[in-house]
Amino acid sequence: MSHGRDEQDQTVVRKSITIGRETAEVYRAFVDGSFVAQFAEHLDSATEETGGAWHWMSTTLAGSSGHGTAEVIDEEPNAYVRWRWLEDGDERGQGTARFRPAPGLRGTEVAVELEYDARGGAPGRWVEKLLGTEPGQQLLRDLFRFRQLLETGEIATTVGQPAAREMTGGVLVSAAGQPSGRVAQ
Amino acid sequence: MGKHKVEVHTVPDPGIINPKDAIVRITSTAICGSDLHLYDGHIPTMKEGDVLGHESMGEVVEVGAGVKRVQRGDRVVVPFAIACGECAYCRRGLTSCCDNSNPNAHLPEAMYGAAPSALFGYSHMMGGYAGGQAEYLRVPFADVGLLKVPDGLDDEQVLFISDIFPTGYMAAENCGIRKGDVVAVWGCGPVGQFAIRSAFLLGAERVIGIDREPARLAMAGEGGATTIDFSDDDVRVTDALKELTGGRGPDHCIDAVGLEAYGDGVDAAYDRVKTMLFMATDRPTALRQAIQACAKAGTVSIPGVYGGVLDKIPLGAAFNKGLTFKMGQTHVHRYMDRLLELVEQKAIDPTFVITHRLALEDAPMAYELFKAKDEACVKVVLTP
Repeated sequence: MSHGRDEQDQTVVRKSITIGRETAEVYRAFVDGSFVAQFAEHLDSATEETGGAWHWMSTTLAGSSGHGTAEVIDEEPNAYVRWRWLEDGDERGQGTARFRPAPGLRGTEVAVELEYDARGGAPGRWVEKLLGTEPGQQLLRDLFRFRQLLETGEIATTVGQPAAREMTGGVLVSAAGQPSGRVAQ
Repeated sequence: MGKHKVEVHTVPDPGIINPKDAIVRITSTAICGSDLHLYDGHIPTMKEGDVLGHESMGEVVEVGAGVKRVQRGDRVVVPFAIACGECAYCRRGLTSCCDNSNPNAHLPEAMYGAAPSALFGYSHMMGGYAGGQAEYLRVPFADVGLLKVPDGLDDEQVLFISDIFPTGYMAAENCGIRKGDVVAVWGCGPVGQFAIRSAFLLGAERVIGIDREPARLAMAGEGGATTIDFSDDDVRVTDALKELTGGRGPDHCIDAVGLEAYGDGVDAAYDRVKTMLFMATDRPTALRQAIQACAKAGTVSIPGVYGGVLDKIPLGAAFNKGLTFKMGQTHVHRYMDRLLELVEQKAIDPTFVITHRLALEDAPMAYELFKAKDEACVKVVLTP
């Protein structure tokens, strides 16, 4: 059933994170597709379409390109947003995010839930292509990267660092000298 | 490169990857006791070709566009843990609990319930950052991390502020030493040595060092400690401690031994880790002894690295004596200014702990020497 949802067959992954920023700032960043594309590992870029939906491009973890649309279907600014993923018009899954102030001066608590049909049909395969075989773990990775970007302005990475093996991916932005560094490994 | 296999290789120099990075040309680096856990193959998620080392210092040679406080030419010490300076934990000075420095935080989160900070050169679960037993080191969040060294101090006087000195100091501070207290330290390796001296600096009247290596016991003695040599089968550490403390037991007990964690059943870094099997060596004996020996209402302070689960910890003894446990990876950034001051004031000369000085090229031999404790080895400093 490409447009309906049977509650009992949905796979749900839920992760929470606390981010040391005001709720309005966190919410604004989360619903901005171009910001999301910066931290979500599976997204390369996102462009806003008329009507407010976000069309995004992805080189998935499996290495094959994909694309999709994220469309907000319900929201309460600074508190709640629900969206659905579409691939060429077919719904592949939904997500919700809830935002509330964290206790004390800790910032904002964000709770994200992803729902999709993992039974083996097109939706499940698509989500797996996008998020890998452990969507919960990928969601957590993405939320960590979301926090890093908001709190430090950077995403922690070691891609491009030296090692005594074939380096795949990553580019050295600059080098400190001739490639003659001796290291203990 | 594998268990008991450390090699020196030529690799590309590191470069700036993120705007807050700096590149440090390493002038001195050291091997840590916890490097031996890597060497012995006990820490999971290492990959062949990973660069080791987390006790380093040198000169800043390049800074990213986001670096404001340090500049090229600064002489700096690099803390072993990587801290962003912005998260809730960093703001509290608890930098080894940094939320944002580990790109693989989901791995320790799965094992421990939450991810601590990344460490240099200490497995992919702890961030996978290339380490500082090298000619150059990329340091993320350089403004937060790097301790500037004033002129007039040699490398050897300040190098240990990267790790073992604050580790011993924090272990002693965690005891909550009141003037006149008695502190016992299990393990007279480099961390234990600094714990002993730090305990005196913090007001302890007597410090007892426990080990079985003659060189380490002698070094502890030179630091003012009374020593217990448990290589003698007639010596029961808990009895000896009773005798040395008028039957009370030491007020505070520092476990500077730790536990080697064995990975079993973890095939890949990206599996969700649900359980981890650890085989205990006889080192958990130190923690059990510390609990058993500790005076009522005392503190057990644990700087020794633990990774997994332990059996048969006498929690009944701990509960009924009202003990406090304090532990954790060192919050180096919290201590480094204070410790630099102590060195400048000559309250302590950290060079006492060095027994061997070798070239980076000699790293394979140095690891073997350090592991075997041959030639009365206590601490090895390597020069690239």
